[in-house]
Amino acid sequence: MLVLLFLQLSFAQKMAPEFIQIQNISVSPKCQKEKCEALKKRETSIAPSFNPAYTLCEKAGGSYEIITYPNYDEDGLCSFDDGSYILAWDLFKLDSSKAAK
Amino acid sequence: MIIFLLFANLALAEINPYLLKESSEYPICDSSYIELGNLPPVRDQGPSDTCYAHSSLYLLDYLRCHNKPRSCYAQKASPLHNATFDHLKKGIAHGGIPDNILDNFQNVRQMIPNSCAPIEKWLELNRTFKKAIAGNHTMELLYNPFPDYFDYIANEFKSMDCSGNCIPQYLKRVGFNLTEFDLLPIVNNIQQISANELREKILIPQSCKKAPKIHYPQYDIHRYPPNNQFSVRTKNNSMKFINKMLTNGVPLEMSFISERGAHSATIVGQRNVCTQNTCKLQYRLLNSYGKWWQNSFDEGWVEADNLINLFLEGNFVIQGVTPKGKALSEAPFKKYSSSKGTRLTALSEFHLAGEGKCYAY
Repeated sequence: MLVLLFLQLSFAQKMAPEFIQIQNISVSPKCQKEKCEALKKRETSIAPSFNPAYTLCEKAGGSYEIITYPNYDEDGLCSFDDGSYILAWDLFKLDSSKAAK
Repeated sequence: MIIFLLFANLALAEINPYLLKESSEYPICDSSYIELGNLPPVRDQGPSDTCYAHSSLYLLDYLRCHNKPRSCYAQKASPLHNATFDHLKKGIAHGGIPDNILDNFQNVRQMIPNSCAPIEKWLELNRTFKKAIAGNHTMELLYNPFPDYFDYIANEFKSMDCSGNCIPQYLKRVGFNLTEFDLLPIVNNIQQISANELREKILIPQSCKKAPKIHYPQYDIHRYPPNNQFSVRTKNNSMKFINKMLTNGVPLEMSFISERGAHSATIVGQRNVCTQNTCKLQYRLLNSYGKWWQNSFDEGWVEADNLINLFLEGNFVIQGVTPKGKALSEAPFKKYSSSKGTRLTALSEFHLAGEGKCYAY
């Protein structure tokens, strides 16, 4: 039973963290105060088999996590080594080569 | 009908196969409007190629919860577990078949909770594999303790579209320098097990299989075309089937293919968007790309004509599930008003008219 409880806890869903909006992009509050990895400009390409946002995040050097909102909807969060994070699909908006297409 | 995704690199602007239109250009003709309510929460398939497991899970969850309080959806089922109900033939394949899941799950109707076998386990697998590569391990060191990571590699092979023959090429690309002799046992091992068996083996802990399950009601499956008669499919009949099912309050799983690959999603609504003279039918898709995708792409409203064309390009069915024994009514006639007066029209006929008249009001 304890093992089961442990398993449940180890994979408890990650709730959505605090976001601020910068030019309609959802990022960590850290990015308002200083330069952060999450808002770095990038040019990326994606593989279609996964959620494309996952590939965007991986190619940007981030780490992808699935977050859950209070209404149970899910989204991909892309976190960086400097502690900043961004909604993974928002990386698309930061991609200077494709954002206007 | 295995879902192959053939091309690895695409521009993001090109990945949306639905050719979304700016719906704001058109006032909505509300006589056509059906949008199912109390839908399952939007899921995120993340790094896994499990769109088929998500789209079929949406059907099952809707069946389980749509007429119950929203909190029913708090009990989330594991898409990874759902994927294992698709028993593919031996050999690794990319993606899966939602029809198999609905057929095989019908006799089980119990799913492991997401908390026990979440998609994150797939992420962990990918991360560990990448670390192993970065650590410059030899293939032997990687394979012996972690043989199951070859699921990940095998998917990469498929994306290269060269089946087992490109294993040596791939391994060289990622930095392993092995002879084909070394690789033979690995290739044989991969061919002995299906992708989903492998996933079940490595991603779902044994203890989870004994954990309390989420129970689903008995159901009937409705498919177009019946009996996999793919050659008889037409655009009109596809749209009629969708209209009939949505009118009866039934969401539908549909796979579709383009020159770049395939995807599966769930249709949960239809509407006409109109100019003064013409109307275009749209379907609302519940996708497995997270809430951002739904929000940003007009809550998932896509052009029906294009979507059906992509559906017809592959050997796919459109399918929905209803409570066992529940009879379906034919698509009802509805009163339709326009500036030219009031008339009765069948929703299906109206939709299929294509250039049918529809006036904003």
